[in-house]
Amino acid sequence: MKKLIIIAAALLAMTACSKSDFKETQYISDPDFPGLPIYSEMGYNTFGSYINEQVFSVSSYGSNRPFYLVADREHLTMTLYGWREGTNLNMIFTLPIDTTYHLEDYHSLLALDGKTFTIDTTSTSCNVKFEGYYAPEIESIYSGYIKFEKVQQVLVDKTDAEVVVSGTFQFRAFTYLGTRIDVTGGRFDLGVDNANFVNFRR
Amino acid sequence: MSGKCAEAVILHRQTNTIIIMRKKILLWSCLILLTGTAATAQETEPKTSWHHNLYVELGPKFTSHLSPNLEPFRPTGGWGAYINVDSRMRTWQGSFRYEIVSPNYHWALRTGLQYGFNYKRIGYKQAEEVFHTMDYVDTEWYYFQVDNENQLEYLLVKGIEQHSHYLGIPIELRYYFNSGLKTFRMYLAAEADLDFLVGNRNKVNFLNKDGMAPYAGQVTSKYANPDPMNASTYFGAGFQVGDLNGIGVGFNWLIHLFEINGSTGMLPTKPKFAGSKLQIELVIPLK
Repeated sequence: MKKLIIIAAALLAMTACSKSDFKETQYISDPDFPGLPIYSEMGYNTFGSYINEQVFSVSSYGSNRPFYLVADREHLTMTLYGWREGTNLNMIFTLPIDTTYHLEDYHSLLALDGKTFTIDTTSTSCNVKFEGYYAPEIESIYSGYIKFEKVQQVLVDKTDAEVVVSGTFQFRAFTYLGTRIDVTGGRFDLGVDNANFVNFRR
Repeated sequence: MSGKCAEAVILHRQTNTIIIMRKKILLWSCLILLTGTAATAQETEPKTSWHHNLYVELGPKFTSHLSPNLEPFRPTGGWGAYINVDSRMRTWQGSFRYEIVSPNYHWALRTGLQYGFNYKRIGYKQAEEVFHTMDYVDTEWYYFQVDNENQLEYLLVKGIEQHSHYLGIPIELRYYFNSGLKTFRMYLAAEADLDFLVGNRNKVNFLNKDGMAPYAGQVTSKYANPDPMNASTYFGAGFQVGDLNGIGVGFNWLIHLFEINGSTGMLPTKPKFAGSKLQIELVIPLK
């Protein structure tokens, strides 16, 4: 319950965030991957991938920064609020985090720079699930990864502004009905600060 | 006897009068002849001597430039974001020139000393901007990315300017068509300018002016400074109005042909057909 309240508070903070265009989604189409934003490491607040050749991407509607990160003692959860075929679909990554990462606040995300997490159904690996209408229920993950290609601090006029978390992901999963789900071309470029980072460890 | 004497006196006086009249006629004839000769000499003088003129010229130079380096600018606009940046270049040139013109007033060679002020700006695209104003809209600014090895760093920038001053030597060849018409002359011109950079100032307009001036170099380092020397060629036409022996005015339009050497800096100009320059000229005959 406490977790839900904090998540709701984080979402409220997202919708009420500053009008600065730094928090806006700056969506630039990738000509090589139709329907997806370009891969970037600039904090454009975009993400996207193909799910069985359907486009899953950040929405052109809604609030700024449609994603948030939540850390607890063992996991870092990254939720991407996207759209697929005109309906809301959330992609939720749960990464195993040991104490070496010390995810105290959003600056601690810098420790993820260059890290790659294997995605499968074992308890020590990253896990993925979908939420939303018509969201496929994953029963098992065959193979995949999420890589934090670049995690860097952003300074604006010499003062701390946010941390940009950018990277790539892809995986193959199966539903309870045995349907294969291929997630390919995944990329994310997210600006994170206190408005969309929650730490349960404290 | 006295009657014969009187007749002789009268005859003598008439003879003297005739002689005096002949002398006067001769004198006047000589004067007229001399005057005529002098007049003829004056008319033929322009065909045997060169003309020398001094010019004072002033005018704008319109230059097309290539797109500057926009990579440091963070895109804006949300969905379908793009880099909404405007760039412009304006140049004013003024010169003193000496002209030597052939005796038949067809061919002329002009050279002198030319000053040029070149203004370049990269700033916000302003739909409401009046053509002649260079003011920024205070509410508009950019995230400008500067080099930082470990972090992603932006400075809030409203615009970047480059002010360049040149001293140059123009060399121009002209061909006047209708030299017989003293009050209106048309010509074709070919010009080569050799301009030397004598001063350059880069300026950054920060959104937050307090304390940001020391970091201007981080912004301007993304752009080149002008080369110390810039040479270009022109071809064009013009006309002059005014008596050959009096002060006249002219209008000169030259099209930029190609750059021989040099870069204008922050906004690279097109190497060929980069624009044109208009010059209003004041012609002062030296003799």
